[in-house]
Amino acid sequence: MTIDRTTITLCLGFAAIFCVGLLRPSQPQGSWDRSHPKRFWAQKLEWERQFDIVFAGDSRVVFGIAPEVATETMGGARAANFGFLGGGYSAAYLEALEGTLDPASPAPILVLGFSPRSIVPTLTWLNEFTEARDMGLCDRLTQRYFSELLWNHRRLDLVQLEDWFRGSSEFEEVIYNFRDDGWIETQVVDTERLSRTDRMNPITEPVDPYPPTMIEAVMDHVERWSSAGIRVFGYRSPTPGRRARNEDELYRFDEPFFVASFERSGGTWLELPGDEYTFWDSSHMDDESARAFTAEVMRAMRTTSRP
Amino acid sequence: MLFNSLIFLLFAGTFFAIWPRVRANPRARWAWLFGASMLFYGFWDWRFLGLILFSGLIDYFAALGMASRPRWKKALLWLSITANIGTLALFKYAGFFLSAINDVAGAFGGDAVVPVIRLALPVGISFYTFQSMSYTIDVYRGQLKPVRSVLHFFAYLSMFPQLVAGPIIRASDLLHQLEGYKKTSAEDRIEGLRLITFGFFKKMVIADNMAPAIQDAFARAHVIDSTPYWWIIITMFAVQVYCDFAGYSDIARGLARWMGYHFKVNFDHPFAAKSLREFWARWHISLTTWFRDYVYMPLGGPMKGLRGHVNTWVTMALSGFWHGANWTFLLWGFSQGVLLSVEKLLGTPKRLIKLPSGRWICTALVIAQIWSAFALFGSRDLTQAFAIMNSMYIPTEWNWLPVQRLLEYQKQGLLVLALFIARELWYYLGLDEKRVGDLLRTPATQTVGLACAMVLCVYFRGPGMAFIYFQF
Repeated sequence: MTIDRTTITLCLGFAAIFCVGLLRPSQPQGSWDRSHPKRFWAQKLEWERQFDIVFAGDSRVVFGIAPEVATETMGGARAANFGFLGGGYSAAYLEALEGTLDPASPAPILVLGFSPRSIVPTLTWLNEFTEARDMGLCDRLTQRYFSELLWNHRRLDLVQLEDWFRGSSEFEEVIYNFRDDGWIETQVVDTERLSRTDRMNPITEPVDPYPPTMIEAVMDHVERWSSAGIRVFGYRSPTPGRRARNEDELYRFDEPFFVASFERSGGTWLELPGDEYTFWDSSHMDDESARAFTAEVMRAMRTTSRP
Repeated sequence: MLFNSLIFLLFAGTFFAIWPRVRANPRARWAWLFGASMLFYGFWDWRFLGLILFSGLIDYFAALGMASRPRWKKALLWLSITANIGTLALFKYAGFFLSAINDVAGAFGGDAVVPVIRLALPVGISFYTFQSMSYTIDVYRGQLKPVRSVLHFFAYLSMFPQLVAGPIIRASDLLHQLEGYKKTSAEDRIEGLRLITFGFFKKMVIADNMAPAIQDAFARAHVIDSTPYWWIIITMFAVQVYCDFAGYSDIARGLARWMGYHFKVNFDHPFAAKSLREFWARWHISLTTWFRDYVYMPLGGPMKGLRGHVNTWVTMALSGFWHGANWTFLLWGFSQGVLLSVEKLLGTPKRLIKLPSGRWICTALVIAQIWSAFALFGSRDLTQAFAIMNSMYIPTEWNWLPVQRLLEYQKQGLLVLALFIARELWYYLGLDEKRVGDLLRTPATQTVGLACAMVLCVYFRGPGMAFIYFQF
């Protein structure tokens, strides 16, 4: 009996896939891919009408806001971090954000963290919110039942291949802990290696200016929420000074105008210290700093005169 | 359900496990194919299943009516065309036309006169409506007998490998194949596997790895002013569109081959063309031949004088518009029609080919023309398209900074581009036909090559992307 060539080829192919999967270095606990971030983002979209205080924004909020601190400060209030990587304040995002608040909450609060990038539509394809929202039935089922299998066969890129051939393992400088409350807690493990790696692509090109409609949409929502009895706070996400100035120039961010618009719409702007924290790259805080910064946000909210 | 998803692998595994048990019985074969195809399509949006059934039933009964009531033939043909074009117009073009009316009103100083509706576009609508129309038109012309079994007809119309993104399989090519079944040979199976594996390779390794750089370039509100950057990006985009769609077509052909059916080749090394006419004879062949047979020829075909050129322009403009309800697609098609006329009038390929290195000059000329078409194809509006073309063809600034950034951050995309160019040059230089090509075609090298391609599809794939042609 002869074995069909197609069967031989398929067997050889699957064996090769399996071998490469075995040969590639294992990732340490707490590495980025190991925690199945896609499922993490999709879970955020399943939050409906269940929180008293919700923090929103981009990656700086995702890493920089620890909802557990808000819960402690506010005597057990239900708090969540609704930030998304690459997140921009699109109308769809603002609607989804509103949906996370419990309408029966005695004092619903939304806290919006802004960075110049969060109101620029460039690179919207990187937005984890859009990706999670647009996930079809197949992707949902795949994430629910096969995320482990997918992780075992995750893709390699050239940088990882280079690391592999050099014998170094992947993503070992920072440990990520994906929390149920939406926060990604980060601990720096290998400070020396981290200092050698530039994890953020420097922005050196002219970028798109702000579309006025995007800012108007944010302000419209702030106004609507405020008139509906939701307290809305805004702040600029902390960034090391040099980087913040760089962003202002690149994105042509007019902060005084933005703050004035925000307050005119009924929101309360929080002035917070910018660069007293530890950043494991040019803009994202480690766990200790995130806790300290969240406590600072809560303190500033309490001391503001506006109800 | 995307071909490049885990769910599809499970679906296909189940389908092919049962297929050998049902294929001998016509009704069971058609029912299994139809049921599986409905499940495949329903994964996107089950509500649109009704649309396929609606469109299909009209054509099925119209064709039967043509056979039984010859006097009503023409009326039934128009009913079929109106239903199909009407569905397309409603779901795909209504928003565009209503916006155009408001724009015209605005140009005369008036307010918007009609509310603009934008309905969700059912995946693959342009493909299956065209397939369905080919059936009724062929029956009307007497080139095809209508099928009696509704299951037979829907097994053809909804056959899942080509349902959502082609190739557009004519009823005359597939209906008779579906009547019977052919036990697949060892050759069918290995050829099917080759088509499927390299289809996935084109899509997941080549097209998807280039996608981030391309999306970044087109997503910007302001076009980066750099000639070399745009030549690289448009080259990447042309290759991405080709590999995305040719990859899908290859997977579809491979799946059909595993069922025992044959789909015609849809792409035949289009970038090796030596004239624009040849390019369009090699690119999306199932669509270009559809337009040739059902639009161009009824218009009068290659007539002498201006009329012949007008026929080309109209056909190409409609072909462009088929891709999307946007001025960019319309202009894309029309401009290609005009360039085809210019090529015909001047006879450039015939003259240039006689020069030393004439073949290379001809291909370079085709690429220069086609790349401008891709700038239109990828742009969100005409302003962006013209700005890109301006940057490409009228160099004012040799700004290398964006290119440096590409080299720094999009190495993977550039690497697969280089791989693709090397492969096409291999074909262009005729190495496929030479001894070295024979060596690569031995069973052992093919087996190892396919296994390597499978590994690359799994571990060197780009970020998962939907197929570009789904939107059409």
